[in-house]
Parts: sequence; C-alpha cells; structure tokens
Amino acid sequence: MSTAKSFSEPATPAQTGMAELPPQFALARMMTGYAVSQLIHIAAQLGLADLLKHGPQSINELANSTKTHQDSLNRVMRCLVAFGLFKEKESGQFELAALGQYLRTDVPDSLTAMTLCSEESYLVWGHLLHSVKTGETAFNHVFGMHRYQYLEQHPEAAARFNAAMAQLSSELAAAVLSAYDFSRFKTAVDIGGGQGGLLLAMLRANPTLRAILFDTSSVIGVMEEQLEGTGFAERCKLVAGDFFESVPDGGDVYLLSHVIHNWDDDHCIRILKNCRKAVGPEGRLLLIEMIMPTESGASFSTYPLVMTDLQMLVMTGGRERTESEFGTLLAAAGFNLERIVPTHALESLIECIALV
Amino acid sequence: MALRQMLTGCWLAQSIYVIAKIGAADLLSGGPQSSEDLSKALRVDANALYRIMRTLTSYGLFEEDDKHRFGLTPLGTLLQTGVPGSMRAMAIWNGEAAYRAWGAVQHTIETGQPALGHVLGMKMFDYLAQNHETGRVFDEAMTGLSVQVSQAVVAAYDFSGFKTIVDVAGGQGVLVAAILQAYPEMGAILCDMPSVVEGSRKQLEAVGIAGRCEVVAGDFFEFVPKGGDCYILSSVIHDWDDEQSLRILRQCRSAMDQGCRLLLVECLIPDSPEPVFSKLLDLQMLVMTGGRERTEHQFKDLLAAAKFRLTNIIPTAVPECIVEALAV
Repeated sequence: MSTAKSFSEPATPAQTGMAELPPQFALARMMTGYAVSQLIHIAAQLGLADLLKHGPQSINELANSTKTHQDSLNRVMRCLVAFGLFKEKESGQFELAALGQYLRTDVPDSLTAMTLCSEESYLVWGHLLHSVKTGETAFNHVFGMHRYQYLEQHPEAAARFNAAMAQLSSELAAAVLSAYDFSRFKTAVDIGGGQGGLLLAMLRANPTLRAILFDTSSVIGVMEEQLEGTGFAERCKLVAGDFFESVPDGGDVYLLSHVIHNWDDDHCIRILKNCRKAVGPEGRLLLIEMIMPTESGASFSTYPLVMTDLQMLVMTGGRERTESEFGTLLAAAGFNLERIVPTHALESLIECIALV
Repeated sequence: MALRQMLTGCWLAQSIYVIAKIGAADLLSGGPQSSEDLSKALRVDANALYRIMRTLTSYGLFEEDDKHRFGLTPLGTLLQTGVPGSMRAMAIWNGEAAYRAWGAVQHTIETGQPALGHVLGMKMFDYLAQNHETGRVFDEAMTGLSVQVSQAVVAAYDFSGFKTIVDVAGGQGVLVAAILQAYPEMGAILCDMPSVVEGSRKQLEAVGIAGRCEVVAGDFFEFVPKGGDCYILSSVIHDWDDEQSLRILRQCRSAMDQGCRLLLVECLIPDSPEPVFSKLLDLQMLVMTGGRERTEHQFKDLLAAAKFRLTNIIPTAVPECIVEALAV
C-alpha cells in the first residue's frame, strides 16, 4: 500500500528525532500512535481541510459545519496544530498548514482517499493478536471472509478502496514508465488492474500500444462507465473475470501490479499458473512489487516494507517477499525470473519469461 | 512522508501491544533468540511473530543478529515485566481498552462524551472496578508510570519542612514511598479507593516505610483525611471535568488548614502551538475519562474556585509539572 512518494520523505523513528528521546518517551509515543492515526482519519472524515481551503475559520464555524461538539473539536484541532496539519492564528482562527493540504480532496496528491480507506483497517488491526496466536488472517476473523470477497459485497468500502488504489497507481505509473520501455510491445494486459491508472498511463506514453484491463466484474462495471471519458476506449478492452480461473489471451506483456503481495504462496501460484497459460514464448510477465531485503535492521530502506508486510498479514493473508522468494514462486508456476528493474519508487519491476 | 507515517500509527501501536501481551520481551532477558524458538515457547504462529519482530527491529525495539536471532534494545527492554519503569502494562492498556475506545472517537467529537463509556457501556473507573483483569493492567500501567514521575517529583521539589504528606488517590503508594525514603523524619497518609489500597500495605512494608505511612480507604468525592500539611494529587485532576475536579479540590480544601500546601502533579498544556505530548494526552482524557489536561490559566481558575492560590509551577524531568498552591 505504499509507492512513489509514500515514504520517500524521511520519517523513520531516527529521522523524526524519536531516537534522541529517552526510551520511555519514544516508546510512549509509538504505543499511542493509534490515537494519531485516528485523529488524521477524523480530520479527513470531517473534511476539515476542504473547509479551510478558502481561508481561516473560527472553531465555532468549524464545529457548526461539521456538526461536532465545539470544545472537543477545539482540543482535536489543538492536537492537529501540534502535528503540523493546521495553524492557529492570533485571532484564534484555524488555517491550513503544509501537511493539512494533503487532506484536501481537490489536490492531485491528496491522501484523503487513503485516509478514509483506513476505516476497516483500524478495526482489523485491533485483532493482530489473533493473527499471531492462530496464524489466521485478522480480516477474515473479523469479517468472516477474505477482504476481496468483502469488497465485492460492500460497494461503499470498495469505492473507498478503489479510490485509494487509484491514487497509488497514478503515483506508481510515472515510476514504472520511466524505468521500463514498453514501446516494443503490441498489447499489454493488466491483471487485477483496478481503475486502469497504470494501463492508461502506458497507453498515453505509447501511442501504438493496445491494452486489456482485467479485473472482477464489479471493478470492470465501474470502468465501463469511466473509460469513454478517457479517450482510450478504442485501444483498451475491458474484460471481467477471476484470475484464479483464467486470464485473457492475446497479450505480449502481462502486468501484475500489487497483486501477488495480497496472497499466500498457494494462491499466488494459482494466479501465476493461469498467467503462464496466456504468456507466449516471446511474451513477458512483469510483477510490480516491493522487494524485501534479506537483511533487517533499523534502516530507512526497510521500514516501509516491513510495515506493509504486516498490513498484508492482517488484511489479506499475503506478504512482501524477498527476491529469492519471488524466484521460487515464479519457478513453481513455470516462469524464470529474468531480471529486476528498480524504479524511483519503492517498487521494482520483476521481469519474467515463460520456461519452456 | 510524515502524514502517511502518522496514518500507520495504529499498525505500530498494535505490533508493540502484541509483543507486550504475549510476553516476548521477558523471554529475551537471557539473551537473543530466534523468532522460531520464541514462537514455540509462546505457542504463537512463527511466521506472524517473525514478521512483527522484523518490523519492530526497524523501529529500534529489537536487534537482529546475522543468525536471525532477536535481542532487546533499551526500547525493547521496557516491555519486560518488572524492570524499573516497565511499560509492558501500559502497552497492554493502550492496545486493548484505549485502542477500542479510539475506534469510536467520532462519538466523542460529535457529543463531547468519552468514547470509552460508549464502547463499554459504563464509565472507565466503574469498568475497572468491575473487571479485575483490566483493573489490574490499568493499576500496573499507572504504577509503572508513577515510578518515573515519583523520582522526578522528589528530585524537583523540596519537601523539607513538611511533617505529614497526604497523597490523595495515591494508588499503590509509589510517590509516597519515594518521598518518605528521601525524608526519614516525615510521615504520610495514603488514601485511595478500597480496592486500590488493598495491595499497597505490602508495598510500603517492602520498602520499610509502613510504620510512617497510614493507609486510608475512601472516595475522594466524599472524603479526604485531615492531618496533613502537604496534600498531593498526582495525575488525578486530569481524569475529571471541571465540575468533578472542583468537588475533589473542595474536599481537599476542607481537610486542610489555611496555609497548607497543595501539590498537583500534572502535564501542562502550553499556549503555544508546539508539538508537546500533553496535547495528545488531553485527547486521551477526552476519549477515556471525560477529563482533560489544562493550561496554567485553567489550573489557576480551578484552584481559585476551591479557595487555593496557585503559587508556583515547577517543571520536572518528565512531562509532568508540579503545580503548587496555598490554601487561602
């Protein structure tokens, strides 16, 4: 769940000055981090940043527009000021600060969608202990089904999730396009391609390329309404289906972007084997994933990965993998891991060809 | 980026909670171990445990050696049971009751009422009295905290000249013990709810001050013992709203003679926008108890309404300050 800029501005414990705190204060801060994430969530849900985008407002105005308890909101605002989301003026009015801009819904790098997407995730993370005790995915324990099944059945949650993923894939697309040359391909197939962010960016950058977007029927249903407006309807075919059953034929490059990390090894092999049936001898399969380093430690490079890995543990039952883990998985499905192409985002492209 | 880091705060908090809850740090006191061995001893899922420990290694709680064995850092050591200033119980308290309450924070912001009460169906202190396991975790968490605070208070404030200290809602007597140990001539009265003071006598005996410290059970809304010349309320007032705080302060005042001292040990909220922890603690109080952290000005008004005059504010080595007041 993290890409391009996600963690590129330094914010490791060491870099935020936490390392210099006495250990008990540093630990107190970390163990109360749930309060911080809930406050950011509330700020997004109340739309505070949008309310302040045209200028400062008093607490009275903010409480009225958000229908909240004024004294409580005031104390929340005081804390959000301390976090750097808002500023308080001499007059007592609040205005947007640099961090708060990311919670506006009308800016290109808005984090609102991702913030609102955390609603189920907060609840699920409260059951991490269950995952550790039993090995069962916490999401399945809480909701009684896999996350993707849940999203199929809950359109509002799916809309929040898709919006967050669309934001991520538009950030990721730029990184992928500048790292890898797609001009030699005729037809790209994006398996589990969601709202098509990556695929449409590829079509934009490669005028002769054609594309097939493959995802579940609910996602494709939404895309059918949207694709007309993009101007790529001619070159992009939409196909609904289930990648555990089969994937569309006819491509010479197949993409699995942030798909494999959502699943355990058995499920991954099923997906990859279905891809293997569709990928021809000259074709390529590209996985777009973060690659877990083998060494661990308190380093800037590992911590977003290990965190996302835990998000997969509780939410989907998937995992982030090392290069050799990818290699094993691919071999089991009849692919050879040819090379790894790093991007300027945290994700790399894992280029694979079909084993004969 | 900073905002994304903040958004994942609940992930990190729950990871720390799980390690505290299963007691992983205790097993590492003898030296580094592999997560595989740990998971067998703790009967937990090896794969999940490894991934959590790998994550907390990134945050400086553990060190992983080249044989994939995890050892404790100074941060991780604080999650052990019984070490000085242990934060294990605090981590469990945060990961369970407080985490659940914050899931309903929207209720608090809409109504001004503590989310914890909304989630549990009763007020926090009633819940703690009725649920012994949670009550024990809370008491342990507060005791762990008061070890740090007590040392800082004794170092920062000159208690010489007082004959008898009264620690109102003094819990297990950690602060009283620290003061009496530093002042061998001094006597003290420790009072708290009956269920809380039960365990305190043994503690006072263990540090050899039971002979100088009287233990009184009572509810501070109804009664505060007479006979002291210095009354202390340490991290008490912040649990209550202004009206309830005033009732407590008035009970103290009516037990005190004019000229006696009252010391509140509390975090102060500065008027400036700086990122101090007390601002987050203030919201913890809002969500959990309906209490609040206060500014100097707010303390001054509250004290004046109960016939006290704020005379001094003394910072300590911990976030808490000593708010000194005189009975007038």
